[in-house]
Amino acid sequence: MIKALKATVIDIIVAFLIIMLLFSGINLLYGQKVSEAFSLANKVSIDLENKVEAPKAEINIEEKQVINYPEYGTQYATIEIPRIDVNLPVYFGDTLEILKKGVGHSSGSYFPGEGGSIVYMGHNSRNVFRRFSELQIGDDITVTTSYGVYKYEIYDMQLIKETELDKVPIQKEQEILMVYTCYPFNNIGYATQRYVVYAKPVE
Amino acid sequence: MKIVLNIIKYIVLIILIIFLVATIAVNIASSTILSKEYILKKLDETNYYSTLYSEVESSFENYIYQSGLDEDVIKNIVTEEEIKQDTIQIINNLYSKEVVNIDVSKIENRLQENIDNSLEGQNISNATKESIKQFIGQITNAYKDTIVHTKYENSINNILTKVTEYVEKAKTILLVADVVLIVLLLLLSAKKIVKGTVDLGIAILGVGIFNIAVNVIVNAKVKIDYITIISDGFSMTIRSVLHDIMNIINTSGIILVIVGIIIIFISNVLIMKKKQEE
Repeated sequence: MIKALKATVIDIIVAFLIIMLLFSGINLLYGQKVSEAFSLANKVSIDLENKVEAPKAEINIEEKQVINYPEYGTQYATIEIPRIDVNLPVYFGDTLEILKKGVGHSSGSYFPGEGGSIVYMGHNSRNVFRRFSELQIGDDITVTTSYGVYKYEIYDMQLIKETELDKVPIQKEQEILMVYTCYPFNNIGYATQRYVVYAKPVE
Repeated sequence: MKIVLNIIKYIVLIILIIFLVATIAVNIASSTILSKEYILKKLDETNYYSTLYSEVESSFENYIYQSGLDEDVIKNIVTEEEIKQDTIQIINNLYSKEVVNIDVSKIENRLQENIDNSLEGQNISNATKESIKQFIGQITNAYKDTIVHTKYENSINNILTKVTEYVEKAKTILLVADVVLIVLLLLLSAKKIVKGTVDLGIAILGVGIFNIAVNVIVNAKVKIDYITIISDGFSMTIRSVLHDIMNIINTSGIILVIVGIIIIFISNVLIMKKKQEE
């Protein structure tokens, strides 16, 4: 019996050695491809649970510079326009997916408090900017960010073509909040015009 | 002569292990990813239809906000049950190598009805009518894209067709090869057939060790729980399928290790007994 056990242990070791030999062979012949396959599998692995949260945005008031810009696609503020009962989240970015959730902040423009052009856009749907036609010069817009509250007053409203979005260029001399939506407000189908509201900070 | 025979025996042993591993792999593939019934069961288990329903609604929202139409017009134009039936049809079509075709006329009719109700009493111009027609087209295309994943349809179809063909052929070839190699291994032991069963036990044990090692390596190198492909629903199903495959590999590995050790031990006991008798 002991002899049989000894022989069995030896045979198990032989099996292990054969498998090690086999793995070495695979590694030698297909090592590169196997590691490419693992790397590809890990490329499509996204650990959402352990995702490190980005630090909160802050502002250096003296230099008018936001520190730790919000991550693209995340909400960093709310916009409130009392006259038309608007109180919506503002997200950094302006993709279709973002505009579905609220108001988008065009990534090429400045942030509130930075002293430049801030470009916001939203759909002309019922829950967003459908009632833009009711706005009047002198109306208030409040943007509450994670680093402060910014109050603006509407001083102009314009109707522009879709192709004229750069009519008022982005600049950093003066803080201007520009809020865009599609026009006509109750248009059915693709709208080729944009309604823009211009607001300046309230001192 | 004995040395030559031993070398040949070990070569046959290694080839047998490779072929047995391939046989297991091919059988796992045909009973999981290549099995229509298995995939449908997995879709049910992972709540795929419910996730897909949310994705379909979300895809509609992309168009409604730009359309200027009331958000309510896209409500209740498709049900979760209809999405489930369409998905089952897509899977059936894919596995029977037929062109995927979905009937969207119900969605078109319900959407048209909702739009008509929403615009009731309004004077609708020809341009608006054309815009509505385009909008309905966009919504039905969004539906097809979301449930069929049109972008990947052709490649999935091609891969599935090729792999199914290869697997069916490979199953038969591997089975014949396994039998031939086992017989060869027993023959190489000449008159001492029990020695041949020890070698067979080593091969089975080897396959078991190989399977367990593959499971350990894959789990260490790939974060299966975080794999994200195409959409949330699809990713959840893929993760569940991969977990199933790894579990089968691991379980079969453990069983083969036990069976292999038992065969080796019994054969060695018989060899020792025979030696004692002699």
